[in-house]
Amino acid sequence: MAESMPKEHWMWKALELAKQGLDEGEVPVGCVLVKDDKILVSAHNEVGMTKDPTRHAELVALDLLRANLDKACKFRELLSTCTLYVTLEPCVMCSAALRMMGVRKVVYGFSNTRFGGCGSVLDVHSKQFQYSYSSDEQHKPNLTVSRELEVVSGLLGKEALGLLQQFYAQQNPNAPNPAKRVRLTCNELFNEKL
Amino acid sequence: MKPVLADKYTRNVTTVDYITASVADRTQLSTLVSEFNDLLPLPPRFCHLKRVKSTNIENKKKYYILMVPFKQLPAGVSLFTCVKHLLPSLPIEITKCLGDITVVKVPDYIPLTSMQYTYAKNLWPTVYSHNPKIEKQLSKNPFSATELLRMKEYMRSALQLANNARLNGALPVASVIVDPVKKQILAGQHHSVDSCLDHSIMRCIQDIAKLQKPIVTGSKRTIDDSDNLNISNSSEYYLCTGLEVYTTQEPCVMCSMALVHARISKVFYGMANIEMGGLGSVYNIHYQEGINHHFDVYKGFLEQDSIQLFQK
Ligand SMILES: [Zn+2]
Ligand SMILES: [Zn+2]
Repeated sequence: MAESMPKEHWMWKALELAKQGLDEGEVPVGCVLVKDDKILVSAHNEVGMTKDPTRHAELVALDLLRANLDKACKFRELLSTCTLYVTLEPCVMCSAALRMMGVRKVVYGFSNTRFGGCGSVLDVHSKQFQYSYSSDEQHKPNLTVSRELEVVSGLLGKEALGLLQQFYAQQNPNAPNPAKRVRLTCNELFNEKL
Repeated sequence: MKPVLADKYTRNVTTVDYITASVADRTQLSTLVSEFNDLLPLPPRFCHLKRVKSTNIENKKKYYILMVPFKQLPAGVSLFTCVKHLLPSLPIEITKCLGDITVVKVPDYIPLTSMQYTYAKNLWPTVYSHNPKIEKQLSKNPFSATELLRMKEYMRSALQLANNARLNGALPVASVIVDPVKKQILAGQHHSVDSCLDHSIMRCIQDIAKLQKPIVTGSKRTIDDSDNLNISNSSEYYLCTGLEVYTTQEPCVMCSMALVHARISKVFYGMANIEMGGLGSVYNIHYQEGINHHFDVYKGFLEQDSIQLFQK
């Protein structure tokens, strides 16, 4: 079955997750993993709550899905048919994870000029890796990382940025000139919590 | 063990051809330099070069002054006619001070290490940007014998964990995270057997995170082989600031970036990860331009031991 819903539908879902993260005091980045018009898993950034800098929305989602899947289920095979909708361009770490797991496609909102791995800082999405996965016997080596990650950028990017700006404004309630501060820090928004 | 540094620190000095004029009369030198600086200013990318070189052959001082890069000589202008062409407004009495016009090789870039400087200054006097941190990394013994002994212990702990991984059917790769001030191992993990993303470094970083927050019941994960390690239980750490990683294999791109997010200070690794390594093989994430946290990386530490684990 092909996807029939418009991309925006899924991105709004990801934005909802991001908003939920914002309400919990997290850096507002959210994502949903979609297969055939169905959300398999959704997550938002949890770095603040866990103090764990690896808990970006994408990795939280992949780990959650993995934990809830039947052991026999072929994780990589499943992911090779999925699209990840995420409000912010995946960072280098998450982009590498998506490549290694063989996710087919990522659609993101706002560009991550600080850490982005889908073109902004590094080209992890399209890099030719000679990686073969050998410890996972049930899957053929070279099956996944050899394929590039398809990327669609800028979907509802303004909305994603809006949430990030709100987060930043909350972090600095004493900023002398909030409007100016937010504008100034658009490039500086992406601190270690992202 | 070798530092993984940007090419600009490790490359050989490359040269560029530059046209120079010899100056016989020392008393004219300062006038010449100021005239030249006005009329033929050094291009910005050659600002590391001093304008004048002096030689002392058989007690005879001789001076050479830079004119223009050879490449900038317009077509049809020869070395013999270049003074007239390049400096038409130069007063005749000053022009007379200029002797042989020759082409010399000058260092192409500003030297960034003492090794580059030693070579470069023999070609032509140059400014040198001294960086004590890089110098230490490049030196023959960046660590004292005592330090090295302790570092080897850390790496051996990682190697032992990697061997456990092998026995458990996982990839024989493992890491420990160390507090170098307290001289204590804070986390130690090997690659997991079943999840493809549970690399040893990700697991170590997650363990450090657990030190930073009050223990939540139900989400506690036991640390593999914790009886081999001295696990601390304090919460004085902020991410991995000030901490060091000893890992048997170069971290993959994912783990390398996780170490950026975790603000690690140093990484020591054994064998390279040619396919997917982020600290020297595929990328150099630890000094990647645009990424706001950089850290020191050393490769090839107890490398043979780490390779042997794959051959067992
Ligand atoms: Zn990320
Ligand atoms: Zn890794």
